[in-house]
Amino acid sequence: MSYISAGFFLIIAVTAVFYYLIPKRFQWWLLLGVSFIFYATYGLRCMGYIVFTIVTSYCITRIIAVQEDRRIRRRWLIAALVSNFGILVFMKYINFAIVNVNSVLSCFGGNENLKRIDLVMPLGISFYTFQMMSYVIDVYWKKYEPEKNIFKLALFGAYLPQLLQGPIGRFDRLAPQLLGGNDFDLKNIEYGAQRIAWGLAKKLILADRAYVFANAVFSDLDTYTGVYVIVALLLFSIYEYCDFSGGIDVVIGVSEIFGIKLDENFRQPYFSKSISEFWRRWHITLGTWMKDYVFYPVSVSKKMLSFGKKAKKIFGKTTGKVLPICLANLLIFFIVGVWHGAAWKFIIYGIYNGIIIAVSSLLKPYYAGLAKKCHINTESKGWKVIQIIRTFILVNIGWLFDGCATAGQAFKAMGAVFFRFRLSVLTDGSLYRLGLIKRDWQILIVAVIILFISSIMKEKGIKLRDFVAERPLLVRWLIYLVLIFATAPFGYVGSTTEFMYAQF
Amino acid sequence: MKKKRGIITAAVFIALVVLLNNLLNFMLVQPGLTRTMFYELTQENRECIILGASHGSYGLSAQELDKGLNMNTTNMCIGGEYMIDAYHILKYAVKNGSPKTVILDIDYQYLINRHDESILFHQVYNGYPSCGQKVSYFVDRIAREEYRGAFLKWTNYWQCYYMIDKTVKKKLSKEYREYSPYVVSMDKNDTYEGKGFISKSKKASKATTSVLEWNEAKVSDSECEYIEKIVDLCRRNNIKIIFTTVVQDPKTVAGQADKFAAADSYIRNLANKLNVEYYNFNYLTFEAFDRTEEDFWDREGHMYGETAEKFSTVYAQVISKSLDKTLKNEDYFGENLKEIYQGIKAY
Repeated sequence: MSYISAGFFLIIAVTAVFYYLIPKRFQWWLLLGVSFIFYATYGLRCMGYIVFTIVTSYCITRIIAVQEDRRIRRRWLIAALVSNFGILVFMKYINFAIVNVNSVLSCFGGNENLKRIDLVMPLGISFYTFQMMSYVIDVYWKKYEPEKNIFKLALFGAYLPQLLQGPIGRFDRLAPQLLGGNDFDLKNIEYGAQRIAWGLAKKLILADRAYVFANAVFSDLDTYTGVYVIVALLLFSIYEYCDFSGGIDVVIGVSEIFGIKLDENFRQPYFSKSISEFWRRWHITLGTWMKDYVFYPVSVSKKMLSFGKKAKKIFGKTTGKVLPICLANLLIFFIVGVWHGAAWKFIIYGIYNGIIIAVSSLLKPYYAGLAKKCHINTESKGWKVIQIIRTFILVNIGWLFDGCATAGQAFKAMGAVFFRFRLSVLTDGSLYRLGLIKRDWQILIVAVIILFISSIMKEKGIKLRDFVAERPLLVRWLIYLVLIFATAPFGYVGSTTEFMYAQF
Repeated sequence: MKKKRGIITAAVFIALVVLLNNLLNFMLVQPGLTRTMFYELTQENRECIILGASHGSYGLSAQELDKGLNMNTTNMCIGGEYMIDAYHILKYAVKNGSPKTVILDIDYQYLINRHDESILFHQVYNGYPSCGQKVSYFVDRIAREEYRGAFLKWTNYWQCYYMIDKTVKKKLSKEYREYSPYVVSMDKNDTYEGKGFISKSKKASKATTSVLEWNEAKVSDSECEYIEKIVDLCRRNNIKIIFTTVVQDPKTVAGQADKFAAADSYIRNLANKLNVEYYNFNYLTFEAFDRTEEDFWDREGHMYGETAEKFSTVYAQVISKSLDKTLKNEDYFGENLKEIYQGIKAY
């Protein structure tokens, strides 16, 4: 049952009614029950994994909390991390490893192939594992006391709206809201519904439509080159953003209905002026997770500090200071790449981002010097626009690794841009042959303009939702009705896809 | 006080959305045949019910089957009817009557792919009468589908806005209230002959739509699971069940004989496992039923009305003899598709 299914919305509506009817102290029980029932609709076989993660996190944090010996505490932490990340890695990457081992063996003339393992991937495993491990690490760091009630911890791990595609929550921010109970507030319902409708509009009107064309081009790069690839890439970037952020809008909106505010996951990412800024605006909760639990611990580790000292001696103060950060970034983006999927294309995608960020950090002082010499006002609007466009191009190149079936295909697509480059494709009707008719293009263009304007307004700090909420009741209702009823017919009808990140 | 006002405001808004949605459904959703078929199903006691998809609805004349089987037959084959839909139709039929025989017509394409024209178009759901079974059907099937097809049915018909007046007029008419098929929106070359049979006129030109290639790896577990459920439901209600596959365009079968044979083998194994008779009418010899590509209005193998009536006679003979246990397979069926279709040139 996906987040755009009839059943999901029905479950949410019924749960919301009961949520506000029952006493506040029982509300979290209801959420827990519904979350597990929802998860069970995907098959009971998946349940064991999430239950294992909850139980191990609960038991180990209870032990860590009472244990004084640092070494023993550390051992238990490692046990939690290894067992849970071990399952994640095994489930997601074992077949990838087998394929690669077979390839290597065949290079050496081996005929015996290791057989792939038929596994049922537990839904949302990447998300709930990261979320629960953040809790375990925080308890280990004594950021807060461990939860004494395993069912309360289970709700934190399996909270229905964010279970399948995040955002990756933090216990200290989420648990009090989940467990404390909430009074009925029309504003929450209104804001929640607003956000859901906006998310569905992004998904159905933009993402699903954009995907059709992009997928058709990326699947046949021998036929479609030049302008086709550029248009497909632009549409793929719309798809990536609208699908993922649309899904998150639905998740956050649903949660808001229960009076629970989840962490934001996007902040107009395509307005970023550098790749590192992009990653602070895109999938924010994954980025902050990496920063808190990988980047900082690695950066301040003994080995990294001693490496920094050596680097300063060899390369000088400036470069020596940046090098350990570059290394930590490379590690993070390698993990981010691996997290995205078991394929070389994702690993290359991660390393691609890591290298850009590392090189940018190393060259930052030189860029500043160059800009000064060329009398470029780096604070001017024009320069910022150039930076945004430059970053957008770099991001789009990265998207090729996601959009194409393999890394080889992604490189092929990069080359294909320069073959048979005919601008007439844009005007001679050729674009109508790849799954989208004229009406689809018209809807796409209008919707992109609306999305762009709303993003600019958000970027300027104009709170659109508050602006709408402050209108008179009838005007508000009119806006909501248009959002609800316009999304349906203008949404793409065809082979719509599941939310992309729901498969992680 | 503020809380109470908030609840009332939310309730009024929700009521407004529901009202508007129902209004749009009423004005835009075209009256479908399934509504009439469900109604007809409950009007008399149907002794034999045929379940299946569009090949069955265009290929099996219930009137001919009535004569041949000497049973009151109804054809509940509906385009886009998957096994889960067939199962719930049967549940409805069992609840509202006492069928003695069920024929499940299996089009292998439904086992390997979802190929309905729109993900939002649920013919069976749209025509299913409001009742307890519909709730269970919703939970089983529609709850997993996209919300627009389930709640905002008009989404799939919004382009019919220019005929709102006609649609409203139809829905307010006495004929509509009495489930008459004459108010149903149908293709101009289609005639509803009653009891679920749609007859396609020869005026309709041949479409090039062809069959999906059989691929066992793509077989949906859920479809097989529901076939088992259908068999189980029949056994629990002492209903005799038979599997069939109606005959298709000979040129298409000739062109993919190996694939058709593989699909047949898969379904036959499933039937054997469930201890159900299976008759694949693509194996009909040309002596038993002569046919050419001219008898089908598309390459996929949907029959013209005239052909369907002739075919239904042969179909009824086979089923009748099977029920009497007097059927000699060799009188009707060949064993090897390549031999049966030798001399037929593929497309």
